[in-house]
Amino acid sequence: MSLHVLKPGLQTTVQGEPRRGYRHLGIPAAGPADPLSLALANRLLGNPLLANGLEVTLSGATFGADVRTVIAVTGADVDVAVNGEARGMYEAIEVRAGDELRIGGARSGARTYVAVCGGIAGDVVLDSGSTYMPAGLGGHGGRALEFGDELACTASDRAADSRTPEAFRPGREIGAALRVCLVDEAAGGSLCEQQWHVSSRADRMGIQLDGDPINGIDTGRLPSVPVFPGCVQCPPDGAPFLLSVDAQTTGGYARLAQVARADRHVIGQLRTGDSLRFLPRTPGEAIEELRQKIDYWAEWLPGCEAIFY
Amino acid sequence: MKTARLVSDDLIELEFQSQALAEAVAARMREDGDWLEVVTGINTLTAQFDCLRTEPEEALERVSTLGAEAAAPRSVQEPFELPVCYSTDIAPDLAAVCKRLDIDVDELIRLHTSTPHEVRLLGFAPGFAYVDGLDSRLDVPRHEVPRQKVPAGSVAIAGSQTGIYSLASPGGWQIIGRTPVVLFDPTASPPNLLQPGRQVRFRPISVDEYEASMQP
Repeated sequence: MSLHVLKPGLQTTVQGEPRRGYRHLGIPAAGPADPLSLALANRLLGNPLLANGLEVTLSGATFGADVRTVIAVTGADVDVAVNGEARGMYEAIEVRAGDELRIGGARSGARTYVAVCGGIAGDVVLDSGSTYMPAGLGGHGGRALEFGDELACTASDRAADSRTPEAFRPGREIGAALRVCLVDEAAGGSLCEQQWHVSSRADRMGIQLDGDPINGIDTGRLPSVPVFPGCVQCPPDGAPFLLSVDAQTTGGYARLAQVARADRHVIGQLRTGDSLRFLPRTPGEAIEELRQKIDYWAEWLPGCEAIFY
Repeated sequence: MKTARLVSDDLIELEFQSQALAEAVAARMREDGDWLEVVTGINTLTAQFDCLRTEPEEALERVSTLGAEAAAPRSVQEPFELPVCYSTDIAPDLAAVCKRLDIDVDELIRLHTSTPHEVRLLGFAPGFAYVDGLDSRLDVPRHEVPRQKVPAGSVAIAGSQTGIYSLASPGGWQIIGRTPVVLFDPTASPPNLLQPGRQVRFRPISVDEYEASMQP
């Protein structure tokens, strides 16, 4: 029993629990670029918050069902239709064998998540079913979905009657503010002084930012150091990169700042043209704000500390 | 340990006198199980902790006592011989690097292959190996703007190191050759062919040999 792919879109991958604890082998965590949205979709279906779902990028995708189940769509703002009939985001949707589920292109935000009751089966590699495309690990053959792919899932007679309360539907603005800890006080300070724009080079690995180049960046001869998702790196040309969920594990460019744990999920929704500011925080302030965020979300998403990572 | 500092709300960075010490402390921290990730850099180590359970000050205190133990002795293995095709046909930076250094390709090959190198660490991407032992006459900087796609098997240089790209990925090193050897296999244990501490000798091969090796 499965969903099958009718239109894979620009890039649709299976993503769930990240692949933790392997960065020292050069293996990034992968997982959803926006874990909050995946968790919100899973929440509507009674799944574990990071059960495998589908991450649909920008252009939308279409699936066929050959099983009765319940699905939910969250994340980037899209039209959803079942057999051509409009359905809502942030609500459980019943699909039956023979139904066609269409996810439209994203009006704002970059990634839409489709969760299925009971989750979607993925190849488990190094303890995770999440897709890491550069190395062909996990998910569906380690790659983005293609026409005709069959995604195994189980039938469910669960009622499609749950909706996300308005207070827990993330707003999608074209401007984002990310709280950061400064790694380099001077250059990190410069980073926080201006508004940046997401360039056309934006994927799961990282996002190049457009703006006035940052001056005084060290040469290309720095020793490589470990880097993590949320790191803002800067090559000597002064155009910073914001590393995302598939970030490489080490890097040799100057590090300016590190996005605080509370805001890393936001990176996954940034798209070309979005404006972006960085707000400096001390580690202590960042942790306090993380606790506040968790207090807020825990009312609807018990256990949500595990999705802000 | 030389220094320990907080990088962000959930990352600490330690600096050591030697790579061996950094690797030894990293191995010990991974056994502890208190850390989400423990990754070494060049004479450094960065550890990620759960900042909801461990205050940053506590994380710093926990590592302050580490590092006193001597590094584990390294096992001695034969150098791994890695075939590399140094050709402008498949190495996009070879010509520019030679021009910059004012040497010809044969001289570059001689300088890169005449002495053994040693894998310092794995990182950047699965199987990417940072390799020490580059002749100081081959010192070139990284590209100012990284390439969006470097082909798998690319052998590249930057600063005092050689980097081997096991998988296609973005990258800013100067590509001087390519190896047909598969360096990363997720189904193998460990998935990386080359481990830190392993000696590597680069062996020049022709374009024909390279292409023959690439046949399935």
